[in-house]
Amino acid sequence: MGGIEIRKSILSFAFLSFGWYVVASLHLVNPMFLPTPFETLKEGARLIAEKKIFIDLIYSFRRIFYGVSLALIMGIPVGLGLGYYEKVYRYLECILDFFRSIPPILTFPLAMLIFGTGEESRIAVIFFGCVSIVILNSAVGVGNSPKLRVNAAKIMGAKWYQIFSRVVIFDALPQIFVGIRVSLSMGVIIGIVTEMLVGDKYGLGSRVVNAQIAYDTPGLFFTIIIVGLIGLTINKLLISLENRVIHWKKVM
Amino acid sequence: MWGIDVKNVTKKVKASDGKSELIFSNFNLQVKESEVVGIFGPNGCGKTTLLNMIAGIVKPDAGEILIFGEKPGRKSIAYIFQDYQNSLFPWLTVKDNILFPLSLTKMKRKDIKEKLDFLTDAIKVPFDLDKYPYQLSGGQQQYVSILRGLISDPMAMLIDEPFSALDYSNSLWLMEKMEEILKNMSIPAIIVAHDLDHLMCTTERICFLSEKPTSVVLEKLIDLDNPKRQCKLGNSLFKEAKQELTNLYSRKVLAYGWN
Repeated sequence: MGGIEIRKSILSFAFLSFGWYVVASLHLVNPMFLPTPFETLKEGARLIAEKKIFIDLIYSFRRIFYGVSLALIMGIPVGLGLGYYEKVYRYLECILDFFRSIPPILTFPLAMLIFGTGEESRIAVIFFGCVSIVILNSAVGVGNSPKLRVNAAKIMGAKWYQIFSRVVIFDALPQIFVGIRVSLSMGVIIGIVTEMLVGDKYGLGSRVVNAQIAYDTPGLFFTIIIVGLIGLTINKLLISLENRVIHWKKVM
Repeated sequence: MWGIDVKNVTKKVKASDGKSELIFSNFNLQVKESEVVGIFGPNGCGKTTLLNMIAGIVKPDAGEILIFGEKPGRKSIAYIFQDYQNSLFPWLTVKDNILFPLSLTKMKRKDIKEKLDFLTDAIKVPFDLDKYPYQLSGGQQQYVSILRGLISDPMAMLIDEPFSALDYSNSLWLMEKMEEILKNMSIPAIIVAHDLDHLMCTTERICFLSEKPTSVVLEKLIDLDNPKRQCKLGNSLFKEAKQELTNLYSRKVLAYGWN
């Protein structure tokens, strides 16, 4: 993102906050439900000063990180393999779509039965929700890559593992990155929803539910904003990483 | 011994409507040990299939193909594709692209570097080797894929429409470069092109193909020392030769004929 884009983004955020301020301070909405930006910031400053929000952040992050990482570690190789062996992929495509169609959070009760109410069940649900996305995108990445490059490598005498590690993976990288981005967003959603369903002592989802019970709308708003900002930051960081790693895609 | 020997080859392929279509029936083509042969023919007559068979990607249904007496796939062959963008590796620098075939072998780094130095000494490379393919012009990219083909000391060279994805100035540039390279290499080479000018400038013999089932209907030797070849496109002798070929060909191949 260049300087001009950043300025534009800041400006639009400023406008949004100003609109919020006007609506809230004119009491157009019951102040119980809509605190002013200042009240929200004040509550935020308190949460930050007391370091409470950081503990929640760390807990939520850790769950999401483990779940998504597991999905990537398993999903990328499986997806690449399925994409390479198209015939096998055709058999499994429908099953993958079936699993992808199940709202991941639906499996949370089952995961709790198996793993208990601790970390494992949350990580398992995040993994379940992300792994099919990663597999599918990696497989599609291989499937869509130009066959000519593989043929060229074959003529030059490349063995199958060389074709795989030196050609196929690179051609699939752009789509693998799409999978990483989508699964991270999915991981954030699932992670926070599991915290809301069955509260843990810590976590951003738990914080939101607790704030609701306590009628602490400024705290609620602040947490929602934080989650939004986290999602935005992750996405932007990944895009800039993607542009650096897949330098050839920007042009082509 | 022939450099490339295509003997009585028959090949059927599946057309888009599912029917199998006979492309080659007892097709023959011989290329001498250091001869550059041009292939000219109507669309869909199987020029690329022929190259694929010689390269060993596709097997003929009947007949035999030998490269210096051996079956395809045994000896190293340089195959240059029309679509240079999808045959180069955009994630590698130009240098690593050229060295890719060697990096697949167990060759030592020192020897690989020596090989590259040797190649770049023999052939002038007018651009930075540390650039990426997408930073070069189309002609330069095609040139890189030719260099990549040459690095592993190929026994034969197959070049499939190297100019057709290039604009006019790029193809002029590449044509000159290729003429230079082919002159120095002295290996059997087959160039497929759909522009007579390109073939007249780069090859020693042009084979004109018929429609399916494909055969060689006309062969024309291009005299290397003839001034027609030296001065290329602008020369009147060159134009005359081209006109003569076009006339001969259009009478023999329906797709190009008037009747």
